[in-house]
Amino acid sequence: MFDPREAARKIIEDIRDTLKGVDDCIVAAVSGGVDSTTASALTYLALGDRVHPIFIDTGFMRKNEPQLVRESLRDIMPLEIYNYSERFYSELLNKDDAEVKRKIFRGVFYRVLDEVLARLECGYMVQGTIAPDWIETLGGIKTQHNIIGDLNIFRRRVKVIEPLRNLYKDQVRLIAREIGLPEKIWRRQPFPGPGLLIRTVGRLELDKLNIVREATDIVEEILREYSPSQYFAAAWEDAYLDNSIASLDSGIEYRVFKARATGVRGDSRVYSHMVLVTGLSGSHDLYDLYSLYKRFEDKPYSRSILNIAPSEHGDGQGYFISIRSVDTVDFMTAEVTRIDMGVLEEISERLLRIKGVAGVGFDITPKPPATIEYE
Amino acid sequence: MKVGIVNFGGQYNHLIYRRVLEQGVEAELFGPEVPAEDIDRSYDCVIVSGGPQNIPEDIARMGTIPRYIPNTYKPILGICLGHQLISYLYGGEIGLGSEFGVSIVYVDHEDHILRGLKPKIRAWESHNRSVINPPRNFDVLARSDKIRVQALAHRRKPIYTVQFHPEVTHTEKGDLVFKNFIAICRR
Repeated sequence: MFDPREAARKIIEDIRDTLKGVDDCIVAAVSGGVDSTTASALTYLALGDRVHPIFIDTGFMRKNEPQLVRESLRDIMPLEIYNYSERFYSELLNKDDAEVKRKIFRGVFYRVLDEVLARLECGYMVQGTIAPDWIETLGGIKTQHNIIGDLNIFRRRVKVIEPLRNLYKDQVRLIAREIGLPEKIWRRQPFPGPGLLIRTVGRLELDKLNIVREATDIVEEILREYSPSQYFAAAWEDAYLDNSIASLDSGIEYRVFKARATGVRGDSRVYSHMVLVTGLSGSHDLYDLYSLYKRFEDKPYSRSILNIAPSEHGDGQGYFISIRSVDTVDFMTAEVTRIDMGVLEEISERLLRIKGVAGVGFDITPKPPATIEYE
Repeated sequence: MKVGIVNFGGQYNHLIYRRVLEQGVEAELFGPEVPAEDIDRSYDCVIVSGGPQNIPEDIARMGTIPRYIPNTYKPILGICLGHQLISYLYGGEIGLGSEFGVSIVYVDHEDHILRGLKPKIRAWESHNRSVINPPRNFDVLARSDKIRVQALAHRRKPIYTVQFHPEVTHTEKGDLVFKNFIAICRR
């Protein structure tokens, strides 16, 4: 059985051993997610104030996120916030392809990190890499316990400390709890590195991003009591490929969004249009609604969204908000959270009050064939 | 005991690795270019898992494995793509037939590999193609409403295959498939 206390002790000892005789400083970039925070905290516990925990504000954070993360870690380690949102916005505004957005984001992120490393004159950095991040990319598995490697993307030679590289997410949470990180952190739902950028589906525009931020706040507030593994809002244009409503043999009426999202089918990535289920003939109980995505299994769409409100859509003016909520142990597969229609309607009512929101739906697609995030 | 896991690049391969470790035996992922005699020398049994390839047109890109499978006496478990590859190599027919997310898999015969899974499980699937006609000398052990061949067992050799993914946490009793396979490897 996995023993978090022993694992934490061993990691701290390994970090001290590895850096014995080195007097360089270490930058620990914390995103507030459980992996990076735990990796940074373990390094901080091992080496003390030679470690500089930093938080890079990309501009794609949730409401008040940088401050909340710093506050919740106050008793563990001091966190310095670097605001680079203008840099990220200027490189990403009006970009619309999912992969292009992710690649630009990654490029800017590393350039910014490079600047911080240079400014602080540190030769080491902590990364929250966990086992699934690298096992797949290697042909063969060697049972190695090295926690340090070279990273060649920076101007200066930087060594990377990866204290969690042999662990899985559930094990990381246990360690986080063990070393006294606040429950807010170890229970926290994952938040992707590119953050709200990839929930602002399609072209990045600031009004759309702000709507996603508002909507996420509302969805998190109401769904929190269900304790889903991951839950949030995403937005895209309320516009459709063609104006008519299509229907399946089974009496399901649907429209196809212009917006595209990523999915995974049989170990291949797909990037294709999403479907809005607008009507059903006959009666359907909630269980049926949750399996509607199966009806689109043989069609080339990335996911199925159940229409919540309003009933008419699609002059292309305004944004459509999708409510996403899934349950999973390891984030490799995910099931849609069962939520009462009444609650979805309550969320939808609040979302429709945000200026610019034209429609709301609930994403009923598990992973696979969808991914948890949209891009 | 050591289990070898062929890595064709499937996203769940590290979960298979983890599930095997959880059974208390050693495991290793290896690429499809490893020579057949090295596979036989290194492992007590082999799991052939998922990847983005299509059967049959991508078989040329699957290294030594298509020649290894019919020529070894070691126990083999094929999962998803592995299920389709093994079926094809033994004369089964592969065609279109997709399932994603949850499917109810009805277990008609447990044989050794599905022991404890009767009468049915909620299983997770992710495939665009399926086994349309099973190979001769294999018994069909399980089916779903949409896909008739969900699991196979060779009548004489210790070769077993499943179309669903026993390694993901959402598949009910998936760990039993690994437990059963390890027991077969130990015999």
